[in-house]
Amino acid sequence: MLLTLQLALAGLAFGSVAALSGIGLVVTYRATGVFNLAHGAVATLIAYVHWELVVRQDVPEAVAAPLCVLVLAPVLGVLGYRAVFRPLQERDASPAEALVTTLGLFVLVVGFTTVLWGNGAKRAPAVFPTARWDLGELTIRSDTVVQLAVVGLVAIVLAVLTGPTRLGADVRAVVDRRELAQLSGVDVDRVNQLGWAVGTALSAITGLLLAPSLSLTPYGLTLVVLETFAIPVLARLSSLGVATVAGLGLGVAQAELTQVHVTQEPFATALQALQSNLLVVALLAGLLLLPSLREVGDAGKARSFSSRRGRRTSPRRSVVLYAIAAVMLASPLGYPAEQLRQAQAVPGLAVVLVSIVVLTGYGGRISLGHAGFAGLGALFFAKLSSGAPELVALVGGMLAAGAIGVLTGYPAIRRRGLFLALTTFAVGVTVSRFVFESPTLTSGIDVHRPSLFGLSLAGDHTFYAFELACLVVALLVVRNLRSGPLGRALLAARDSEPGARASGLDIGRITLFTFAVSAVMAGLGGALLAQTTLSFESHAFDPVSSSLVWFTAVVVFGADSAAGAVLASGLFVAMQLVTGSSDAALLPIGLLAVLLGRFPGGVLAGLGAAGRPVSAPVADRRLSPTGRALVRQQ
Amino acid sequence: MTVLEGIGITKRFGGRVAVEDVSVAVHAGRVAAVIGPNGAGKTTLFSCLTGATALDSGTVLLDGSDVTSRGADDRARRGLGRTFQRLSVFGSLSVADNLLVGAEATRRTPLWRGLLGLPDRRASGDAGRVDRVLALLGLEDVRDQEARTLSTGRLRLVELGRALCGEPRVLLLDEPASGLSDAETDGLRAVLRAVADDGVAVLLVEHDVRLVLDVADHVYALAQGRMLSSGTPDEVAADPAVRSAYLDRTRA
Repeated sequence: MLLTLQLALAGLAFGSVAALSGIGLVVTYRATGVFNLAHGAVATLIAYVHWELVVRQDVPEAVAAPLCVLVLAPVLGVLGYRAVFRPLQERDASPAEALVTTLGLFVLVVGFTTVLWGNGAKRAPAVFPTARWDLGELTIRSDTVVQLAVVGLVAIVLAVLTGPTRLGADVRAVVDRRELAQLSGVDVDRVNQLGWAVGTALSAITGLLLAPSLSLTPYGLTLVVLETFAIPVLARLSSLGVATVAGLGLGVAQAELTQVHVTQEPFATALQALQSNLLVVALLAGLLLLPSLREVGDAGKARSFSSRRGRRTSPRRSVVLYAIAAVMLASPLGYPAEQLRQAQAVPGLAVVLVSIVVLTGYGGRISLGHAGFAGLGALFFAKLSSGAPELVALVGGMLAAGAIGVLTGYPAIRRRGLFLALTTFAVGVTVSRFVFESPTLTSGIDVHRPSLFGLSLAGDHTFYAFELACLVVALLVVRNLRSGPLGRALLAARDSEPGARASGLDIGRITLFTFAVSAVMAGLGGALLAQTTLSFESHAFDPVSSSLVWFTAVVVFGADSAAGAVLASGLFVAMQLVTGSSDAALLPIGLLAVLLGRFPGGVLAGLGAAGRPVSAPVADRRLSPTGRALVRQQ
Repeated sequence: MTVLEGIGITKRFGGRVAVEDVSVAVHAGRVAAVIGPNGAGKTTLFSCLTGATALDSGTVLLDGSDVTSRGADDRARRGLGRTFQRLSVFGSLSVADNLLVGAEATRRTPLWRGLLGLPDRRASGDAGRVDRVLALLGLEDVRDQEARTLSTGRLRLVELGRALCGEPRVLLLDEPASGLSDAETDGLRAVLRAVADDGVAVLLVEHDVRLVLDVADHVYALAQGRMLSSGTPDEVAADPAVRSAYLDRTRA
């Protein structure tokens, strides 16, 4: 009983932070229609600033924490809105574009943090004093009490703000129907700025409170905050009350789980994984079991960042691109082995990125879990190759990835936009936590390079040639996906699902097919990456530093451009070689993704349009919000 | 010969009855039409017949076999072609490719064949059929134009063409004349007649009463989810119940 109480208190400490993070996500979403995927990255950035102020600059805590939470974070939020999201809104961009822009913001902020403070772990200072009170045998920590008080205060303040006040009515009007609110004179701009300010302030609190209990690293803290996505999902993106209860409840439940003991394998391992990953499981379960999220607007159209047309608009451009890519890819074959080795990651990564093009550019589906598919391909290849010929193992790895791809495809048949993005992200995180980071599954793995009909591909030059051959096969598959009856069917399903169905196309079958092809291809790329490094490392297939960054890079270079995906892969590796840091490519990719609002078809399409950015006409800019809404209604 | 038959179709949304115990039949070579004031349940009935909406009770027979529990795509492959009131053309495809999809999709070619780049041996007749339908609908001048660039009136024809390329046994049209000019409506009337004369069963839901009375062989009048009257155009037009519920108001 005492232990249960003690654990509950510990659980409340974490649960209150998780609740604050979840409330912040819901507030921003309800007020602005944007689900901020950069929430965790912002929390991490502010935690670093706080560390810098307190530890390096000796600023007193009583100044540093309020400065971070009440000044710096809201200012960053409002600036981000004005610079990035307001232009999107003025252009009447789809929610899917806004979602990808938050991904770009995520990549940019993480890149910025890494460049300023490096990858090494920091020890973050505690924000609140940690006194302990003994109540009989029960120990109560003062910081837990303060955190709970903060949650209570935030919940009450927000309830009042969105309640029976003028502001509350405005917020609810904007949430209900943005255009109508605008027409009836509500200052939508003010509601948006407030939504971003409150959301980033809450993410700052989350970062400051979480950082001391972890070692502060750019990705580590970010991922923990991303796990709190479970809370807005359980609150179906709408209820602040449910979000608060879900955060506290999950915190307590996770703590109480440590009381459960099982000795029998494999349940013991599974339980251990569950104990440290309850939020991830809750996220996945919430997405699969809840009927649907209460999304604002129609986030269903991935079309907006897939500009592919039935007729290729400029064949000459893509021929030039392919020629450049082919020369660049083949040239390392002339290098000595040592330098060639540095280029070996390019074709493998390119195959993975092309597989994202298949799903997003051609299938019109967002996927934030592709590193899971790639990692499964790598892991199953490595496992199988100890007992079977490498080529058989390679096919086995691809099929394993394909199987998970099909399983992910099932929920995707009826899901779009944010709902699908979160579902694929949850699948990726789950696979990473329960498979890639499971010691029993991934320890003692020996990765070999395959041999082809007796010809060993272990040599660096022959292996690179084999990688190039795999990439060519992947590109041929892509060509088939964009031509003939299959290409027309995919475009038809993307353009109009009711129309496609009425013509006899089975949308479910096409969705599963696209997911399967994409996952099998990702599995091949993952296996190639593992063969490049001759090892399986879980961080190479991380759900954040790989999945999210890869997807962003693909969209930046044109979601429907296979050549763009190959160039993106080259950029990743080249930036790493030049700067020696694997995160060097984050800044340019993040920056370009944030600017995506101005180049809707991706960088290459933007260049093709001779650098003419898409923006609101000058006359439109001079209009008041009401006037703009009127013009847009016509 | 009866191609499509709906028997005792009932559909509620929440507690509200949209369609109650309505039966319709469409015969090969004949044009049937459903009329009724707004909210009469025309669109719901249409959705139940095409498979876009699951019905609460009743049966849908296509060519004599029960398709009640089958999806819209399955019914399409069994010979049910349809158009939409809210246009659903494939905007980024050319007009000819829109029609090609209509011809190809009904065959359910294995997707992996396309993945491997293998040709579809049954595709030989597609190009000819697309050309014939383009000529029938007068769309030859825009055959290679991206569909999204066309006007509403021509897009309705593209949708009709897409459905025709699937070689339907029955064709269901949801307000085909809305957004069409008078000249275009006249063209549509001729096309519908030609399609029916080819042996296709046609069912249309239409607000344009003149078009209905002109082209239909059989008319069903709905009001408040129930069948008010059914018969030849003249019989229905003369039915006092119909006149009070619908016709007089529209003509006035």
